[in-house]
Amino acid sequence: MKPIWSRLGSAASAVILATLLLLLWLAAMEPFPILRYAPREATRSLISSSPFEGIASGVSVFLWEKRALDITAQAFVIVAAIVCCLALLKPEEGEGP
Amino acid sequence: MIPYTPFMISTFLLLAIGLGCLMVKRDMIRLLMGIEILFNAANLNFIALSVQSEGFVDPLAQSVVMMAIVLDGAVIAVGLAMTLNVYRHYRTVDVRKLRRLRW
Amino acid sequence: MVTDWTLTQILWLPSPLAILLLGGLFTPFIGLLTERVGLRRVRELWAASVLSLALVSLYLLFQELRGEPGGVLLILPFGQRPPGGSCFEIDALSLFMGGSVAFLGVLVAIYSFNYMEGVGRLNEYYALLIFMVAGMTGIAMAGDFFTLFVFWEMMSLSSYVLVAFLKERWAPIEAGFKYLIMSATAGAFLLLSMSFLYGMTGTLNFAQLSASLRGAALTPWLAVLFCCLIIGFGVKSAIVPLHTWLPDAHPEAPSPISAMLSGMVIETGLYGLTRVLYLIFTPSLFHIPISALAVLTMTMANIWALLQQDIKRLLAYSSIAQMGYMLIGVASGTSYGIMGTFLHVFNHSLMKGLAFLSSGSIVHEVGKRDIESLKGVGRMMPISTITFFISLLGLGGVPSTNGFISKFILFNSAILVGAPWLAVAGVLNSAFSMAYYLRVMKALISKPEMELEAREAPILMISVTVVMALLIVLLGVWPEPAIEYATEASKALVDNIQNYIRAVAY
Repeated sequence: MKPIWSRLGSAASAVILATLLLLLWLAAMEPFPILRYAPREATRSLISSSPFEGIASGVSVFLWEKRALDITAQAFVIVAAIVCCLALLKPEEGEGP
Repeated sequence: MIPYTPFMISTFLLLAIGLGCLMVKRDMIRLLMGIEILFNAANLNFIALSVQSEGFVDPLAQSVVMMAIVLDGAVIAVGLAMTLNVYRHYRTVDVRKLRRLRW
Repeated sequence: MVTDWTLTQILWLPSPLAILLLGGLFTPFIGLLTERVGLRRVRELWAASVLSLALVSLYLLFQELRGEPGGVLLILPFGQRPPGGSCFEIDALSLFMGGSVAFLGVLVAIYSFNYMEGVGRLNEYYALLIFMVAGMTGIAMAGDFFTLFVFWEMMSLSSYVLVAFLKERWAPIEAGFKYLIMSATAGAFLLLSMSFLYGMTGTLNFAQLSASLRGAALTPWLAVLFCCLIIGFGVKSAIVPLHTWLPDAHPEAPSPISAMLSGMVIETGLYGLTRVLYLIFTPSLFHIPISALAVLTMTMANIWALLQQDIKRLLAYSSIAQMGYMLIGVASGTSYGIMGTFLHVFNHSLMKGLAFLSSGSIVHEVGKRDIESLKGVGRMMPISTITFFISLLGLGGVPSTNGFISKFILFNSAILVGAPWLAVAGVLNSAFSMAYYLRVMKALISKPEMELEAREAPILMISVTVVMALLIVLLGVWPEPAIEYATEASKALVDNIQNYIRAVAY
């Protein structure tokens, strides 16, 4: 008599597997609508891929020019993560190592 | 033109592996690895979609992936700090022992 | 459009966000320095003043928004242009959410002066509290999906550690670990749905996504996108199959953090879900799935709440049920329903915040959390018990509290849209929930069985709870100002989409 937790676990795994198989069937039947809903005007800034080494510098120029807000916010997320790890790993007064 | 279908199949495969890892494994560090695999599935999808225009590369998706890797690393770091604290209390990293908070 | 230096912009960021981020950055340093010098309480005063300054600057930003013709304020940090560049797109709904978050944050910070007194690592506590509020404000103001994701992770990281803050006991650590695993998985699904959106449209800007995808017919891939979005936002907003972290995490957190979590963090999940669904889908597409989820959430949470013996766990299940009521408004698709949802968001933050804070005073003095062992405490701690009663009456929807007003609007909107069975389910669940609230009230004022010694809580804790209780009753008998702000916010979401798209003029 298997315990209830392993029954629930195998039922959940079966459901997840079924949905993933459904997704794979969908992928075979109807291809992913790549850029079907893209806006009419060409508003994306694209980098040409012919000089292959030029892609890296193009991406970094884009990152610093147009996504500086996300980089600033990410810097603050890193500060928050440092404070989080400090809060979790500092010993209490009276507690040994 | 790089075909997208193999990359989509790999994304779903990574999704399945990550979810399976989260459900089956009992070591806490393996659970954190499963979360990392899920994030990598999303990153792979971004990169595969960024080269779909003929002869051009879209830098937006690649910048998003670079930042997502950093964010995901921060989450895993906090998770590992929490695993350390769990070990101090429970003396094990088996997640099936964390059943004291019942109904 | 705002591009030059005004009072509402500091360092090219909207000023509430800049104040909160810089304040959170300096909090550990100020705490360390003043402790070395020997001054006490400076960091608490710093935290409270940073949060109140953010609230004041939100009001100034609101005045500026009122002067804007389109109703949308576009703030371009560092001079970048939107498609491809990230931006802040602020409308009345963002400021409504930001104002609720900052208001609850100020009250929680003042309450924590006395509650967290004997606990160590207080520098990190206040820093993480400010970062959590900063993350929620950033989510409300984001104009780009990836900006929302970065601030989402900021809010989530702070909340994982604040749940597991009292790490000497085993229970907060276990609750925090489960919360981290489930919420990080949801973050990965959010990133996955972002990649699908990017693949379909080539952009991540909300205005451009809305212009491209809104009004499209339902295809299988859009349904897949919808499911990933529900999973990504639904774990954070405690929709029923994905709620299992909440009954462990909210009781084990310290009481002011429980108030903040139940009061605003799960509502921020609901805000994210609402914003994205209303921008990229037409309401007729998601009416049926969201109403089904609403009924499931309300019913199951109320049934589970009846079985609880622990007072904070009962309040946690009650939070899940209240999220079910809010989903009724989201499913309705009209601006009246959304007005009910966000009015209930604000009211719930007041009521559930007050419930956790006043029960926190009771638990802080007595030391036990079991309902049976709290019998008779009401006679020894009258003020905390009266404020707790007022919050429970509000949660149940008794007339003359603001809970009644918002629940009435929600059920009314369900009837107006043509789904009366939703309203019937809501009213039945509301009446059903009074059963377990009354059980708690009865236990608190009955005769004391065991030997209990309890004095009244310290003055700062009591004054915060009294202020919140007065607001609950005041907004119940005079709801016009709150309804006016909520209507402005909901019209900005539902009716103003063309202006939202046009503000990002490309």
